Order: sequence, then structure tokens, then C-alpha cells
Amino acid sequence: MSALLAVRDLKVRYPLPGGFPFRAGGKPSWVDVVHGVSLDIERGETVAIVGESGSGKTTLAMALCGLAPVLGGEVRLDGRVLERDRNRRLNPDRKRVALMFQDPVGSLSPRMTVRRLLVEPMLIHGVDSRDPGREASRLLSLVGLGEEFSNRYPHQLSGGQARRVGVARALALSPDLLIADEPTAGLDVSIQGEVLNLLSRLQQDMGLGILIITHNLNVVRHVADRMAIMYLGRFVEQGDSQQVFSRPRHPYTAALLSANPSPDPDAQLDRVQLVGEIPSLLHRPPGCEFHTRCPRARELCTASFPGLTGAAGEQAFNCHFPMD
Amino acid sequence: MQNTTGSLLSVRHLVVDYPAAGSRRQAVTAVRDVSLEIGPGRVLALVGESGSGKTSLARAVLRLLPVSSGQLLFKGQDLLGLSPGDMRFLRGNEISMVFQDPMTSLNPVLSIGRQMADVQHRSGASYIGKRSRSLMMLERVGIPDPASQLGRYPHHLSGGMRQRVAIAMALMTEPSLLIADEPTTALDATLEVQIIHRLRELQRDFGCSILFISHHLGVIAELCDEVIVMYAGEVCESGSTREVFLGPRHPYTQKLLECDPARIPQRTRHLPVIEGSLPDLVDVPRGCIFRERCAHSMARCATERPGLSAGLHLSACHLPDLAS
Repeated sequence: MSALLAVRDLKVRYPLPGGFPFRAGGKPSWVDVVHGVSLDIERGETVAIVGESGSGKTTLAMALCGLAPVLGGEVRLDGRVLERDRNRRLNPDRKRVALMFQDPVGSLSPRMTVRRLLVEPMLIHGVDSRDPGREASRLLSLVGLGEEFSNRYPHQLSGGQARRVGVARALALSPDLLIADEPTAGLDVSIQGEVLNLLSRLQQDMGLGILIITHNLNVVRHVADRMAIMYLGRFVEQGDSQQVFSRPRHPYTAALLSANPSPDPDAQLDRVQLVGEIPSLLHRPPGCEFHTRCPRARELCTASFPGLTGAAGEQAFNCHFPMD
Repeated sequence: MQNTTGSLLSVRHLVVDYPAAGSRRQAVTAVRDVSLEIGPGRVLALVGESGSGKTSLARAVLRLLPVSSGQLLFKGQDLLGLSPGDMRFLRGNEISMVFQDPMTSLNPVLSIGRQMADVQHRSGASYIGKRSRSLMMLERVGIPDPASQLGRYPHHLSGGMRQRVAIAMALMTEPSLLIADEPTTALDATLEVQIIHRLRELQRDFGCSILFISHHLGVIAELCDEVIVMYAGEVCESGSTREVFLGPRHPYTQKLLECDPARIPQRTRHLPVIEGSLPDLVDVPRGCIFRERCAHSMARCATERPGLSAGLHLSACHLPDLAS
């Protein structure tokens, strides 16, 4: 059986703003934000993508929902290719992929009540629902909010409640895959736990595949079955999250994991220090893209791009000189 | 309380009310009877759920919010007695603030260089002098190639860069007190650690004190000397970071620490949460404010509000009395 979601060599390219002067001097007039990403998600599985801001995590999520310009590669859902048809209309399968946006309050229209927000996706996708009010209450109770919320406006919700409405809205069309972009950013630990418990409960009940995009490594360690580490639009390492946490092979993964602040004031920190800044996407370094910041970089790294080591489905990484 | 002679800022019995709006004709008390001391060169953390009054407290210290009652002493001077002009002179010069959201705290229509020069308005330096000082500060916070950044606008910069620009601007005047309101929430782990290290370094070099607001317990453990735990507008525990994190006394602090996924070594699908929600701050219940969510609540908690215990590690709870 094919995976629920299979992504092969996906590329997203954004055109650069600015006309002639920008293009002078041999600069390209586009920027490759996602640069060849392959990923599988099974039903009932949680996959996490971690990486620095600007590494292309959100763009990847948008591309999976058809919200970013895809340059190449393919996205398959249950083995069927997801693409726009000749009239640039989205494939009807797209509604099986739901996206939860980063900003919980900002992604809800301030002029709609919670009830209308929940019914809107059904109206847009022409899903016949004889009793939209009842459907809205069902969704609210699914995410643990009472009936009284259906007449509220987004500004009357707290951060955690707005998150829950976001989850309910994403579930309105009974998707098979839920993409959650930073589902816990800005929430305190207790509410963060509530939202994550809600997601894993729904996953158990509905068999959802979940793709979580986050930079909170503690969250990844607890909820993700597999994880992928993104750097400059590529995955540098992916694999079973427990394996990756206990034995990172790519130096960037090691640096990222060791940077995670520990709540123990006496913790002995043995950090992998990174030097320099994230290179600009306009000037991708030659060879291994991480060599400008890598503590283990040697001559070979500046010259050739390291191929993928490790078989698909296992821990795989792109590095000439992996960590032990 | 501790001796107040040596402290840089001392807040005594501070109360902040938000005036009633709309149909509810009662004020919301966001901060109730909060006292704290920051010594010179100390880093103090404020931690608590969203809605616990952390940001209101910080803003009240700068008198960006009206104070209903209480006392604010800065270097022995009563801040509440200052004229608006004198207060304006103090803000930015003596006390400066890094706001929560680097996206909106910078002006989108002015270049970085212009904004950094504007901050130095009072210095009376020449344009060249201001420019070279801006360059120096940008370099100090670790921004690569500062000269080219001065002409850029906030939207050209990534989240981490913007936050560092905001920190550079706040430290430009070498303030005695820096208030940092969740400066790392929008950043990923490696950048977070970089920012903490910068703050630590700058704090050492300039000898300033920092009031650090966060709900990231790992960051607090790493950066802060002392910590104050707030719940629903009140202080429930305060002490040195080591004492509070290793031996929390208040049930709320214990819960909060338990909920941090970073402290749970075994992978778990079901993360612990604090049941219940914040009490109604319009009609504050009698007795202990945490009573309804507390596992140890007893008859006395419903009638009598616990005061802060004496000593260096304070907690507002009836339990220790019972034990002793």
C-alpha cells in the first residue's frame, strides 16, 4: 500500500521583487526556498519538521496545500498526484489535506463568529451539510469547546481557545492529513500540553496523519514518530525521532539538539558551537550547503555535495563526515 | 522582603487595573499587590501563564500603563512622582524595553539606520557619531555586515535579526535596567541560545540589570539568577532560580514545572496539563487565588488569602504552615 502522503523532490521557487536593477550583476531573479525535498507520511503517523526560521519549513507546508508556486517534483496522496487541473482548479483531493496556520488569532477572520468560521470550509468546498449549525457544535465539542463559543468572535478567544478553533476548522472537511504549522508557538507549557494532547487524541480517533512544523524540540521528542531537519530548503537528516535524538549523524542536527535549553539550572552543557550566519538563499554555498558553519568541514565539503547516506525509511543524512 | 537599600528597582504593593469597557462595568485587576526587587547587575525572570499579568507589570514599571496604587522606586527615586517629561527622559535612557514582537516593534517605513539614529536623539552626537555607534552596537549583537544593514528595512530582515536589532537599540543608551518581554518566543533553538548568550555578555559588559519575561523554563534556567512565578496577577513564589527549579514550594510552580515537556525524560503521548482555567479577574475570588486548580486545597484556602512567607525563597501558600 502506498503512503498517505508521498513527496518526491519537491521544489518551490519564488520570483524576486524588483525589476532591472535587481537582476543586474548576475544575481538570479528568483529564490529557491524549497530545494528538493522528499518525505513520506503514513496514516496515523506524526512527522515533525524542525529547522531555523527561513529554512523553508512553512513554504513546504504551503506547497503541500497548493498555496506556494511549485517548480518541480510531485506530491501524491494515496498514490494519486495532487496538481492543478487545466483550469487551474485544485484537485478535489486537496480538501483531504488541512492546514493549521501559524498565527492562531490572525488566521481567523475577525468579522466572523466561530460558527461561521467553522461552516465556511464546507460552503466553499460544496460539502452538503443539511444542518450546518449542528455540524459546528459537533466540531466544537470535538476540540473540547462548549456550545457557548459558537457565537463569539475571534477577539473574544484566548490564545489556546483560538488554537482549538483552528483545529476544529482544519477538521471541518474530515481530512486525512493535518499540517500544523507551529501549533504551540507562543503558548505556555500547560496550554501547549492541552493542544498537543488534543491532536494526538484526534489522531487516535480518526487515524489522521499529522505533519508538525515546529522549532520546539521538546515537543518533537514527545509527539513525533519521525522527524526531518531542514536547512536552506533541504532535509539534511531524517529518521525515527528517538534515533535522531539519541544519535544525530549530521553536524547541524547535533548543533540544533545540543542548543535546546535545559530547565535544569545545574545542567552541564556540552554544546556544538556553530560559527557564522545562515547563508542567504540567493547565494547558496557550493558543495555541502552547511560547510560555511560546520565545525567539521574539510576541503571536500566545499567542492562536492554529499549524497544521501542510509536507506529510505531509516535514519538518512547528507554529510561527508558524519558524527559517530 | 529583602533589604531594599542595594536594589536598583523596587516595586512595592503594585496594583494595575484595566478600566472597564462595554457592558461589564467593573475593572479587571491585572496585577494585584505585587512586590519585587532587582539588584544591580542581576537577571530576574518573571514566569507564568499567559494572562498572569507579566506584561502588564513590565509596562507599569515604565509607566506605559496607569498604576492604581503601590510604589515604584528606581535608584531610590519614586517613579510615580515624576512628571511626564522626566519619565520620558528616563525611558530608553535608564530603563529600556525589548518588546514581545520584533515584527511590530520596529517601524516598517523607516530604515534600520534611521531608527537606530533616532534612538540616540538625546545624545547630541553628530550624524557620523550616531552612525558609528549604531554600527558598533549591531556588531555587538552579532549582526553580520552591519554597514549594509543600516540601509535596509525591517521586512528585509529575518525574525532573529529583527530581534537582535531591537536588543541593540534597547542597549544603545547603556540603560541600568533592561526589560525584555519574551524576546525569544519567535525564535528557534539555535538562535534562542545565541540571543541568551548575547544578553549575558552584554549584561556583564554594561553591568545592567535585566527583567526577563518568558514562559520558556529552559531559557530561564540558563539566563536568570532569580525567578518570580506569577499566577493570575499575584506572586506565588520567588527565589533564586536554583531553589525554585529544584525545590518548588507552591503547588502552582510544582505543576508548571511538571508540565514542561523538557523535564519528562520518557517519551509520552499524553502530556500533563494544569486542569481548569484562570479565575475571573473582574470578580476576584476570596482566599487563595489558585485554590480551584490546586490538588491540596483545604477549607482555610477558601477564606484566607495566603501571604508570602518570609526569607529568601518565598511562597504564598498555606501548606508549609501545616507541615511545620
